[in-house]
Amino acid sequence: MLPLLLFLPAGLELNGSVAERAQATMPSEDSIMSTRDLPILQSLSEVNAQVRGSLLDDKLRLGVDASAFLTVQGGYADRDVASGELMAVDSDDEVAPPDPFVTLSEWWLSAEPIPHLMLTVGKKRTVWGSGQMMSPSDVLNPARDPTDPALQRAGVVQARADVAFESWTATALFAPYVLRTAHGLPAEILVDDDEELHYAAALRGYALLFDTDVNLWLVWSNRYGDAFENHPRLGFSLSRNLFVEHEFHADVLLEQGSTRQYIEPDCVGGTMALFRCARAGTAIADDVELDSEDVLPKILVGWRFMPPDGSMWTAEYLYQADGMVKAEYDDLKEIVVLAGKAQRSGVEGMASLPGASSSSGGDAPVRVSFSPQRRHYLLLSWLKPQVADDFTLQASAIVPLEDLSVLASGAVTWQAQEWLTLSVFGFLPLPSPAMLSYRTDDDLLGDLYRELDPDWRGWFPRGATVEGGPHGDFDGTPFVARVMIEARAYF
Amino acid sequence: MLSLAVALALAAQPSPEALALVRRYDAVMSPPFFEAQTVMVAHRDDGSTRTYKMKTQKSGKDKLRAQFLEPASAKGQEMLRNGENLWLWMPNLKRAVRVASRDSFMGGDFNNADVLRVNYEADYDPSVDKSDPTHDILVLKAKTQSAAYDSIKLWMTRDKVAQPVKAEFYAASGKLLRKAEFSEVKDFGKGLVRPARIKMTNEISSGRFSEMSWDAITLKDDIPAQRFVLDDLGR
Repeated sequence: MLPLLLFLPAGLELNGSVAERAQATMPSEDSIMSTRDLPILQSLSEVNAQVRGSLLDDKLRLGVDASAFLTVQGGYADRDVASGELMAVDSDDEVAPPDPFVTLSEWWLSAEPIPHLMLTVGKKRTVWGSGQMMSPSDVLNPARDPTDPALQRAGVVQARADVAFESWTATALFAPYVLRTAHGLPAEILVDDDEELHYAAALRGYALLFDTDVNLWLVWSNRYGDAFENHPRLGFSLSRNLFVEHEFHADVLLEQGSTRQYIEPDCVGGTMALFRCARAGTAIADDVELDSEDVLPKILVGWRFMPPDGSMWTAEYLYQADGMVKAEYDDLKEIVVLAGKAQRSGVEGMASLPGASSSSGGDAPVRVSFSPQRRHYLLLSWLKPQVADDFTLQASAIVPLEDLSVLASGAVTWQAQEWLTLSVFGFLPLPSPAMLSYRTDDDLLGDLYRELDPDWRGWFPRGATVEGGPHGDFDGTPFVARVMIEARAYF
Repeated sequence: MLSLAVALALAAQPSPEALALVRRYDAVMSPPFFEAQTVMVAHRDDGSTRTYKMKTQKSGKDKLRAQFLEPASAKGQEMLRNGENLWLWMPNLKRAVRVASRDSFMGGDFNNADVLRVNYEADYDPSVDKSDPTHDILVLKAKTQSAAYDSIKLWMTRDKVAQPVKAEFYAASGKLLRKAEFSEVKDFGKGLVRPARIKMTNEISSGRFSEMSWDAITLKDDIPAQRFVLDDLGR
């Protein structure tokens, strides 16, 4: 960083952090997918530098947010097909170590050629939705980790014009899709090898109306990271404080069709059905709603409580009209279970199924990946800063309401010095009540479910039915628990 | 009946003296357009301190923006007030979230409204208590639910250039929450003479206090309105 400091022009400031994160993951013998590529121990080192400031007598502003990561990992285990127990992966099957890499979360230039007109070019995070843990209307930025609200820095390449006044802003944005990066910089952008265009364009209006943040925007996208072509979407968000200590928000995406991958029913029913599909050239999963003219909204409504003790309680409900109903989810889980068995038998290429990936992709490492497949979710979080002055406590839970399995996470952060934070994070998938009951001899919940009138079974939190048993969103996750210890020094 | 209503309405009106005094406080402590360099030192129970440096800009009666310069762990954070609304912009989130005016300001003994919402004429009904032989006591009673305190007692010097000397901040229950001492009256230029330091003592937690000091305050004729919009935060 020292050379950077020496060559930094006046008006620009550098700050950042150096972090070391040690992570221990306990693989689950109940994992649906193979855990052979999931390291038990991992060390992640990060050097982050952020440059911000103005040039040319404040005519030009600049921002850069860059991180270099080095990962060292080892120790792999997977369920043995014969014994059903967790066994260390043989040295012959070692997984290739990851390379060090650089991520440029943001790099942008912004100018104000005339008062109220702001022009921005580069890679920048653009957030118009008001959701805290998730933002269903965010179709531009990389997906965020809902358990890690403090690390959502990566933006998108864009050219943007904002006309900003005291209580309203109008924005026009064009975002070419980055098809390939090299060393954190775009290497292939907008046009692919087949001369197809990949882009998103948006018009947005913001107003502070009656002390409420109101955002309304229209996004037109063409193959922008998904299969939609010339596709319009309407986004809408609200946020308002009420009764001094409460905040209410809504975050809505309206669009026709969906890019969600649904399992082809003909491929479900065992390995023979899969084999028939493969022989006939039928895709196991397909985006059958892609060209649908039905409006399939995604709606998040949330409430935040900010009492005088400085804590913050957040509850959000997410509805996805394109989320899978039970029959579709049954099919998905059955195929994923088959894929897991195939993986453990040495068949490759199964991890691309929806919901089957055991680790996340994307620009920067995330703690836990989450891709909601069902219709109804509850997202809860709690944060309490200044405990004994320097400690911050944090907890969050993601609850699929159709099965009530839970992904719980907690964190304790100690601001040991003004420049140093030490943190411990924990992640714990909790099985659904139906799964817990199924594992007992009595299976009371299973009996209750079977006694229900079939018309009412949709309201019973049971998840998918796979091989006769219930299966929730967080049943069969690749790990039993994950713990991270992080030291981050700021400069 | 009408005369009774008029009499009650007149009785509820603050006296010209009280109004002049609260306007004087607002003009001295929060002039309409300025840029300032401010340092807050939070002293905690165990004797340790945390220091925050920030740049603040104010426009009109109800727009204020604070940008944190130090420490490194808070650098890049920004706070914005526009009317009744307060937002905190976090560099790691790359977005602004709404915060409550009564929350602690960066974990110190000031709350957000103490720093970002100094507009007592708008938030409180003033009256004057003359019981102190050397100072006027400005008694402020909240007139909006979003005011930071239920009531404030503010001691002002009894002269033509009245300056705040100390203050007490109360909850609706009558409990004393905080005490402030104003000191180091300084000429910041362009006729702005005011205390350069406020010591805020937390009466709930003994041993805690925070000091806010102003290194420089530059009065401005105007600051562009677009500096006080959400889309300009983090830019």
